[in-house]
Amino acid sequence: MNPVIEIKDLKKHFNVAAGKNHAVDGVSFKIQKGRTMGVVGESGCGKSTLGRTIIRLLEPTSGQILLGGEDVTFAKGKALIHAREKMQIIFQDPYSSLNPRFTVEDTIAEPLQISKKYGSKKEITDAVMELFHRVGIDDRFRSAYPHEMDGGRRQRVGIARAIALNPEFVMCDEPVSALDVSIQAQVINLLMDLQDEFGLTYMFVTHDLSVVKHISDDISVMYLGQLIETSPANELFRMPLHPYTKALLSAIPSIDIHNGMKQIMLKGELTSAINPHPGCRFAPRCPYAKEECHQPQKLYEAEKDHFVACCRIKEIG
Amino acid sequence: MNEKAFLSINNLTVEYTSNKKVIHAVNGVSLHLNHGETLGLVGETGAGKTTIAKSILRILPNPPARIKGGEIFLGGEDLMKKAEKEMLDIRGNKIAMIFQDPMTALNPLLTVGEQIAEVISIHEKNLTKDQAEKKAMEMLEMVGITAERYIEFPFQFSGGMKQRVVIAMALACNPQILLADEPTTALDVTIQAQVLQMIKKLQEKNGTAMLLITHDLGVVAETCENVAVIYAGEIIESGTREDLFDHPTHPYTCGLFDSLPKLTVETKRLSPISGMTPDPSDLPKGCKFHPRCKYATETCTAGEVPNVEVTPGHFCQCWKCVGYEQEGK
Repeated sequence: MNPVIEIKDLKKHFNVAAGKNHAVDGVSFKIQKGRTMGVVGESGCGKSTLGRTIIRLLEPTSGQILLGGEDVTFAKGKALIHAREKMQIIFQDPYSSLNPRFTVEDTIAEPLQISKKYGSKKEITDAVMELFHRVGIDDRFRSAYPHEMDGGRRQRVGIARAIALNPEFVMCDEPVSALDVSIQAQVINLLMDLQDEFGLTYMFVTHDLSVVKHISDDISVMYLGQLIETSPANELFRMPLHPYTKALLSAIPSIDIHNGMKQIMLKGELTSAINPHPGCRFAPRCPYAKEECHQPQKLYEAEKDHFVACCRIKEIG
Repeated sequence: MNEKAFLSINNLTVEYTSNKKVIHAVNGVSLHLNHGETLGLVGETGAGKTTIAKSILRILPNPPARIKGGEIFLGGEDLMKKAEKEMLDIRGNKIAMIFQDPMTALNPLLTVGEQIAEVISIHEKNLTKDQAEKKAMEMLEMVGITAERYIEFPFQFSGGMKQRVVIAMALACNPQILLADEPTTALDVTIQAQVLQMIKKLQEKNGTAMLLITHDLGVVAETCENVAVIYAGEIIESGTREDLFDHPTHPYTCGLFDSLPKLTVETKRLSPISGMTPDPSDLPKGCKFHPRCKYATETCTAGEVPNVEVTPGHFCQCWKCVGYEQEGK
């Protein structure tokens, strides 16, 4: 069976005053039906740009996007509208991603109206109420405006809108980052329930590593536009290979006060992806960087299903 | 309660008035901070964390905010009774604050060096302009920024670097108390680790006490000796880090721990706290947490909840603990 989403050497470059920003630079992966791919990285590493390019909110520079085997990389017009019914997005900020002049009901009904799958207004209303029920919003919020709701409920509206057309693929762009812990857990559970019920395929972009471990089957770590490590979720946490992944995992403040991991402090900050050097982009901050790191690094399978783009993992150990 | 404490907040109550509604932001909070200690204040959005910090410095805008009652003692002097002019001497000098968002805490029209020098020359009037400038450069070096960047503007700095500048400003006059309001929330984890490590080092060097406000239990675990958990404007549990993390007692604290995805333990489903945080203009009677609490009984719905000392120094404001204490456990 074809994977729900497959991208091959996807690139998205932006022209900026200082040159070309290689925001997404040659990313390839596939996600099988019903699975969740977590994409982690620090702000500015291009993870949101990657997600938005995949669902065609941004025009790809080059590469290929296959949705259920069908090439949608440069789809236009009707083909694009058709593709978008199958791929949806949940945005990070539930405060700015809902139209303040639309009631909650209007917001969720809009994709249903655009799809023209429903004959009458009554059918649309029924479908909206069904979605309300499904994501756990009370009926009394039907005619409420976004400003009348708190963050958790707004994010539920965002989720209802995304699943309204029974998509196959949902790109979740930091859907819980703006929420408090107690509400965050409610929304994560909802997303996982919906996945079980409808067999949804997720790409889950986040910087929160404990959330991504909980929800993902596979995790890709991104650094300045490139994937540097991809592996099954548990494997990545058990045995991170790339020096950046190691530092990233060790930097998460742990609530386990007795056996915290030893922190690996990284020097400096994320550099920029504008006119990057051909070699490993992490090399300037890497404690193990050597001459050979200035050669281009390719992802290769170091362990079974565990891919990494670092030529020195054997020596680092 | 605690006479040794350097900063002592007793029974602080703050209200906001908005659209003729009264918002009960802080409801009788008592906190104590000793010399050199780091106290973590943990709570969700709207719990009143920032309001407490701003009350200490008396920088809450009035109206809409009004301090209804309570005392704040700094080394034996009541800050509530001080004149505005005396407060000027305390702010930035004895108590300094690091704000959450480094992007908006800096003046975009002044170079970072000028902003640090400004703080120094306001509080140390005997210094000449050159001396203040020199000290500002030292501060920059201290937080890990080269002195050459003195003449750069905030927009030329990344988030982590801006937060370092804000910290340099806060520490410029060697304050005895640092109020850090979510100092690393806007930063990435690797940068957060750098900044927390730096704050800790400087704190140890200067013996500064810190009130660290955060919603991140992980950050508290790594930096604080003592912890207070705030819910709907009340401290519902407090104690040492070990008390709170090894023996969380209040149902809300337990709920917070349960709703976090763990890195080390495999969990299929998270157990969130049901419901939402209460509307601060319409707080539930009795225990503020009872509508969301799975242990709630009739007793919890009315009256004042006792603050029980479960083990020495570990306080929990919950009816559940009353029996617990009698059993002598």
